[in-house]
Amino acid sequence: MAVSREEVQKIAHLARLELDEEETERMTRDMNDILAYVEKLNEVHTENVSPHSFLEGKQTPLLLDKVSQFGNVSAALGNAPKAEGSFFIVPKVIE
Amino acid sequence: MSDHNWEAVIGLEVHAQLKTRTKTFCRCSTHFGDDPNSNVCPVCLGLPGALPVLNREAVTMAVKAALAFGATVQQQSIFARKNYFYPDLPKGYQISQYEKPFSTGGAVDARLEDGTIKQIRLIRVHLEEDAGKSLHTITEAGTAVDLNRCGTPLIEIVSEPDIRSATEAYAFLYRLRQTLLYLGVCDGNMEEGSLRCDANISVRKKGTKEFGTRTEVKNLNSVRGVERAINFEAERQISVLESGGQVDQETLLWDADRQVVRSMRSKEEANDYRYFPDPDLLPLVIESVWIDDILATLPELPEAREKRFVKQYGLPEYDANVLTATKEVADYFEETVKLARGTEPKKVSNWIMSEVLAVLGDKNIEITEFEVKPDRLAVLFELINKGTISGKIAKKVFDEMTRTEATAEEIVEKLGLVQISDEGSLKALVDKVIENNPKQVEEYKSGKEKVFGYFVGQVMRETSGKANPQIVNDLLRKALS
Repeated sequence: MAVSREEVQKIAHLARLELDEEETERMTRDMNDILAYVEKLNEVHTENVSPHSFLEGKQTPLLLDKVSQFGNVSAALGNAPKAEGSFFIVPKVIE
Repeated sequence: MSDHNWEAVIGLEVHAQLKTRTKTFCRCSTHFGDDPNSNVCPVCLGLPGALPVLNREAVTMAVKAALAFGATVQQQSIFARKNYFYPDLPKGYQISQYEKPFSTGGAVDARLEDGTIKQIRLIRVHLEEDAGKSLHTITEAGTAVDLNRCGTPLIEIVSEPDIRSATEAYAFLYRLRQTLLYLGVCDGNMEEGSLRCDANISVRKKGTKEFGTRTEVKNLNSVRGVERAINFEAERQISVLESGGQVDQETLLWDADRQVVRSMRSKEEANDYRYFPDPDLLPLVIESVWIDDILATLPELPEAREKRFVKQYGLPEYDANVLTATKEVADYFEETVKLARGTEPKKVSNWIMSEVLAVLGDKNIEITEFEVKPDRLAVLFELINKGTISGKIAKKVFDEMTRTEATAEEIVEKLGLVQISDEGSLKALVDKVIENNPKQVEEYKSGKEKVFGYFVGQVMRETSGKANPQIVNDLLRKALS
């Protein structure tokens, strides 16, 4: 299993990353190394193991539908590069 | 469709916002219309380290809907991340369900215009969270983002491509929305976006089995809009194919103002969502006892209620269908029948369909906001039954009741509307009318049956409509014979 330069470019595009020639080269190499390492796991026989065996008997906890407000708008907006009133502002999205 | 050689093949994806108090994975309020970004927290803002915890009520409501459609609720399902970038999706992914949704199968029984039922199968129902809201035009500074809605629970209901026309799509959506409203799990407001619909549409020559290339039409924000958009798009595809062209697989937006579809510009790799199981969430387990509990809370659904109305109250199918359109109107009818003892259910039905629904339309209000509650209406029926007022006068009293808080009895008394059933005084009036209209009497006696109505009208005018019409009829017949 190998990742091509084109696939790396496509993944970069989906992640909204711009990679130059040299970075694409390096990423392709790194990703292939990682996949080769993971490939080793295929040597383990898992035919009789359910994909979620490590979660056996566990389930997602549930909470009651009771409002508990965070209530700190300014903190919420505090990390935003840009805000106006109580809105986050991002560069204009053109449809 | 104008061309009868073609048929449309349509599958719908419906997103319904669940009416929980809090969001899917955090306990922020879902209340609509609050100040921008006042209902947000580290979880729905997607801040690092914040972890989602599922809302039990969201699961209950989702299961309720699935059961109402006869779907199979899976004992175990898992959440997946759907990855895409948009400013109103702060995490960079939407938590949804992909490979293992909580519900599979089921069907919607769509009622077509001729009264027949077409069963449209469902592929799945899954649980997911909504995105926030982007407002592109409120400020010069850029696009404004309000994340109050972000994380609100949705169910996505996906149909099989069983729908063959825009009318069937309408019938499907109508029944779906009606059922969700009966269940009380969604407010069904398409204009406000609590119910949204996308349509996958292709066309093929009748008699062929293979599907044509399909397009996806989004932005359908009314039940009628869905019907119009599908008609438009199917016609468009037919004309492309008839002129020897090819349909491109693409995503289109319905423009309700101009009644056309237009291409979405950003179609490039639009569907590469790279789903994978969300490592922050363990499998959702829905035990059968929980399902049983939810089953026990299912209300009588529209179709069943319609059938019962026909059977129990002897109503025509048409009446039953109109009265069960919403749970609230159906409740209003049943409550009135119960309180107005001895009144024919059909009489109550007529009254609600012609008078009550008309007033609601004029005032543009829901029946739950209507001042004349079943107990007040029942008193009006009692007055008719006892002969205190005639049906015609009852309409006048009813009009007055919609404007005041007075009871029917008070209004009748105040306006002096008690029916005149005293034969003696009516006889005097009848004689007077006959005496004053010799020409009409002549006409009537020469065989002009129609003139009879004229005499009745004259007596009614003399009594401001209060004369008992049955007695007036009898007296007139006798006097003119």
